[in-house]
Amino acid sequence: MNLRYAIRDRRHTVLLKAARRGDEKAFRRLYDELYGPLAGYLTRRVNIPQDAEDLISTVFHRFLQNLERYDADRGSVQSWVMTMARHALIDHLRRHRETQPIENLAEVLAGPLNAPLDGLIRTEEADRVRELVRTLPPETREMISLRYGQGLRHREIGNLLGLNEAAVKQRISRALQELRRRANKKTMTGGEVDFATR
Amino acid sequence: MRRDELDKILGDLHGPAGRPDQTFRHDLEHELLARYSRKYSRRRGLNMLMRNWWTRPVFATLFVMSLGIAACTTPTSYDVELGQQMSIKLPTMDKSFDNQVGGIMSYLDGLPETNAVLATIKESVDGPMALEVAVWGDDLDIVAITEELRERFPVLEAAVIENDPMMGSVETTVAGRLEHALLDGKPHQESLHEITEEMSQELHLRGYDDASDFVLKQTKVGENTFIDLKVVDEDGVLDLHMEGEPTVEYKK
Repeated sequence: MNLRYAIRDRRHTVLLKAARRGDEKAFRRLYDELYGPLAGYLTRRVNIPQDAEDLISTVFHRFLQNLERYDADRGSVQSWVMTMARHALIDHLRRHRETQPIENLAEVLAGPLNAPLDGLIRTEEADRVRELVRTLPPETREMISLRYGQGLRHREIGNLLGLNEAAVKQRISRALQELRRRANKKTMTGGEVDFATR
Repeated sequence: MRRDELDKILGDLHGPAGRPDQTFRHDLEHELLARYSRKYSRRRGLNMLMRNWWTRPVFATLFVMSLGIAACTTPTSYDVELGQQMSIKLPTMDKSFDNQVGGIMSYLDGLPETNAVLATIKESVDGPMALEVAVWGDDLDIVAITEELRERFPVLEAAVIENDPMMGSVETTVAGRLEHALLDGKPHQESLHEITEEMSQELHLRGYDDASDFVLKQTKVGENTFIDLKVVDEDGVLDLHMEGEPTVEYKK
């Protein structure tokens, strides 16, 4: 696990415990630190900005409402918040299914990918990886998104998706191996890409 | 493509996209803080109140410490950890370091466990630079703090960071005598009883009922005093615990 994420998680736990004791400064700092990841996760997956803001607000109010229920043994504060965000997103998508048809729930949960920034040395390489990631099954893409976008541990991703830690680890590991193997091919070949990640 | 290169690209592809709406963010923050304030108004300050119980004994201990150190250690003295002394040495002169010191201090001062921070910069004309920082606080996780400092301040990447616990010595016999004098000659147990009474009154003022809402317990085992407060309210159970001979506490 990335040390940066480990330190972040420990800091979040300390802040949450202080917030439970009535330390407003700790709660404010926790909000500051969680806002970016949460807003990033939801705004990437909800096209209407107003809907994304409603969801962000809903999740933070649930977070405050359930502050006493957080259990550090079950995962980091961020993974706990992301679980609430994912549930809120699924509820939202199901609720609006009639007015805003959702073709594939799994595709939305997997989230879009940023376009590589122009001018970077590895733009071409990043473009290639981006195209390869798009061919992965949606559930594997969601795992990679939670891992690289949110910095969640394998166990936390497993809890979120209802899978065991070993399965998540294996799926991500295989996907990364395949991505590297294909990205290293100098000439991309056409045809269907089959990732054996299931 | 190496694994770390792939990791970097995947991080970029899944990183934050676009600038969030700051107005919405601030409005939501105000809304949440107002709700938080209502929800935790009764609890706010209870922890500080626990610490403040020790105010009178703390003065005694601080005074005793200075005497204790001057008189050297005796068989009846004991050590207390006050915090950590950090020594940050840069291998070469780096002018940008001066601009980073404020940020480093702010970061250390902002940690929830920190009570006070004091720093001194040492530098030679063209040789290495060093920052000596004394961080007073409770239960400082110095390994995690050091790692995060390196993460946040790239100028520290090649720096040598060493830590030593700051210890203070308390001489118990003198401590007892001074404490006795400072507390108007009242025995320790009686004084603690008074403090507990004050705390109980404060809890009543906050709307807690001692029959069902809180349990306040004070025990003394040998040289150590323990005070436990268990509060039950609509938000659940809150446990606060203080222990030890009057805790040494430095105010900012």
